[in-house]
Amino acid sequence: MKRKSYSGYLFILPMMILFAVFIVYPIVYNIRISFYDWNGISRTKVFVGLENYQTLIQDPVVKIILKNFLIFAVCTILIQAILGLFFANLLRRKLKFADLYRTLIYLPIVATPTIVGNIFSRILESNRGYLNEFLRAIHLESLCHSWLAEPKTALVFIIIINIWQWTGYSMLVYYTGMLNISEDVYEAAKIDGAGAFSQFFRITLPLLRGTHYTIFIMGMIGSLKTFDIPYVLTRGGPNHATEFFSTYINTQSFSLFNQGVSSAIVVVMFVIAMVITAAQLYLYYHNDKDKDLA
Amino acid sequence: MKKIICTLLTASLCTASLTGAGCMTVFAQENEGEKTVVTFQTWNPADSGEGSPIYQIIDAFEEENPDIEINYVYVGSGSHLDQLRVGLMGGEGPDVYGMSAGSAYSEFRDFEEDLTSYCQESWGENWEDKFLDFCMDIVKDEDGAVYGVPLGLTYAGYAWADTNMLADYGLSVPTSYAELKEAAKTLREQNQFPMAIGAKDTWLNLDCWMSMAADIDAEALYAAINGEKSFTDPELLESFTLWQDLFNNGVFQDGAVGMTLYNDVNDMFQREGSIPMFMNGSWAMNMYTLNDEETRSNFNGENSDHDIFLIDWNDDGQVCPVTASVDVILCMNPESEVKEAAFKWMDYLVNEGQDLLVNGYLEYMPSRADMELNVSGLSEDGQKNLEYIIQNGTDNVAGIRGIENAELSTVICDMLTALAINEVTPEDAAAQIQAVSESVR
Repeated sequence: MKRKSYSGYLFILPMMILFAVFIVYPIVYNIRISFYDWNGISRTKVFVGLENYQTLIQDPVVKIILKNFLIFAVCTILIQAILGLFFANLLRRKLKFADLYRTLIYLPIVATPTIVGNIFSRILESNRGYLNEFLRAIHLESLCHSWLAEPKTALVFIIIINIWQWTGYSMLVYYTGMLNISEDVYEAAKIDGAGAFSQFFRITLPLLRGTHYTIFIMGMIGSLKTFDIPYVLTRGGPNHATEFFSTYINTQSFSLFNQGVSSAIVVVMFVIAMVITAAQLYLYYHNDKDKDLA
Repeated sequence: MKKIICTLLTASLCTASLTGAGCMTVFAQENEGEKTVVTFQTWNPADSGEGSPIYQIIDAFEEENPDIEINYVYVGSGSHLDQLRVGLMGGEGPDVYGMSAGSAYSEFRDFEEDLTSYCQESWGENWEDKFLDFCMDIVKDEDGAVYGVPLGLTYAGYAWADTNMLADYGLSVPTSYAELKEAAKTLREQNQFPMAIGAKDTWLNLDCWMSMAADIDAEALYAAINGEKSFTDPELLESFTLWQDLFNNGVFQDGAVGMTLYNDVNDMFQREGSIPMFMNGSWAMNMYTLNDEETRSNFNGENSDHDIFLIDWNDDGQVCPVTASVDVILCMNPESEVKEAAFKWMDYLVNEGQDLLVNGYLEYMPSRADMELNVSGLSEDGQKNLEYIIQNGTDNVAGIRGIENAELSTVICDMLTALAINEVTPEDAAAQIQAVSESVR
């Protein structure tokens, strides 16, 4: 019996080593650095206790980041989930060219951020951008804006572009989830007189509960890590209007050489991610421990 | 079965690690060949394709020094310092690397070899005379030690104009703020860009603002940067007001803070030739030497006429001064195992290399006092602009370009953007900058 349990540990040992080296060590090291004044390069670090966290509390940019994170997370997760569900449901119905549509909706995910940034910069540029040119062409000059140069519209477009890029992911996850729902359930519902509307709201939606949680957790973590689109399109500007945790970590670490402060932001991010994930998992498993996430 | 799987896994792991070790041995042996390999990482001089000046310099150097091989690693400016940091800290940094002037040069100090003795040995006791005093001030620390050698000088605060295009709109190159405002108005009325600026690049905003502030009062500007004067003083406040007016009065294009210099605005001026004016520094002189077809036809075509010019921002009858900085500082990794060969390469790059980079390609202005400026194949138009830069470099330099303290520099850049989009008043911007200035002293 004893021998058997040891061999079990041996089997998970390689994975545990990888986990310890690539996950645990960086987290612990990062937490340690957050207590030091260090430029990220020099050989000496000065222990400053909680000073870096104090700096963060007093930093007005951090408040903007938290606000941006909340707006971004709520908007992108909800809209992407609704659109993803809509497209998945549509494609499940054996549409003509369904594979083509699925590919087209998924395609933006594989586009590199630089390309996406370049394309949308051209669309949204104030003077000769396609969007403003189009508005002028249809005599709606009054609607023309400096889309990426005005704080409010810049954040809106970062959200729109993210939704455009990641709706395909939500669609695919929901589509996979829908394939796992037995056709028998729908057949039985039809016999009982349920229409398409009822089938969707009383069968599809509840049976995709695990998928909803997965989409939500992934969306929250994705929102916390958002970097590429705001960095390429606005570099967190104008005046921090599109600043996110990751863009600010980049600034603190590589422009200001404040590795300690940068690590403190990472710790805050880590704590937020842990709390959100733990809360969601608790809610999910609260009533039934046998459930699986999609 | 389990035993078999375990044995196979262990065997494959061992094989993999042995193969890895084997590869490393082979790699090490290759490096230990007859030639000494010097790794050189930089963002500038850039790899601009086959025939880039840097490859010509490397070829010439290797021909003169057959026992040394240069392993040139080009990394774009956006990630050069990040990669360098990781490489140096991991003990795998390059032997020689390019460094930008400013805060990074001092922050990397632990990984910069003190080059004073190398310079003395190679260039003699009076070696400092070899470089312009201004350059030496930038590369020397407070104890007089030198951790890098200057490769090329650049001047900021300039604007560029396509004079033919301006003439098409009935305009000439503006020399004062009042004239610039009028020109901008005329250009806007004809659906053309006014003065274009890539204000998303905060370093460019800093360059332009410093030149404006220096035009108002250079002494006050540098005193404030050094903490000897307040940013809320009237002279500095005037510069912030002026900066904000440029955006509010339509002198700069709409949505300027959403456009980068490289490549949004620069491409419009340099390649497309579709805008009449833009803000850029002396380094843009390389527009005359670039080989791509669009730039060549725009700058070296028949009747091409472009002007580099300075503006009298405060309308006092005198154009603004420029600010100057070393473009690339060559540093040596203290952990390099080939220091002698590495310095030989640095020596060559600063001397023969700089000759080609400056006189052949106008990548920058010379950092060496003993260097003759004799640019080959430059058009008459280019020559005229080069002379203008040299003239201003001689008698119209306000001081050092940029701000060494990263936090002060960042808050000024932030406030310049906030002013540009009217999110802050000049008074509030000055007060916020002053607060940071006091906190970093």
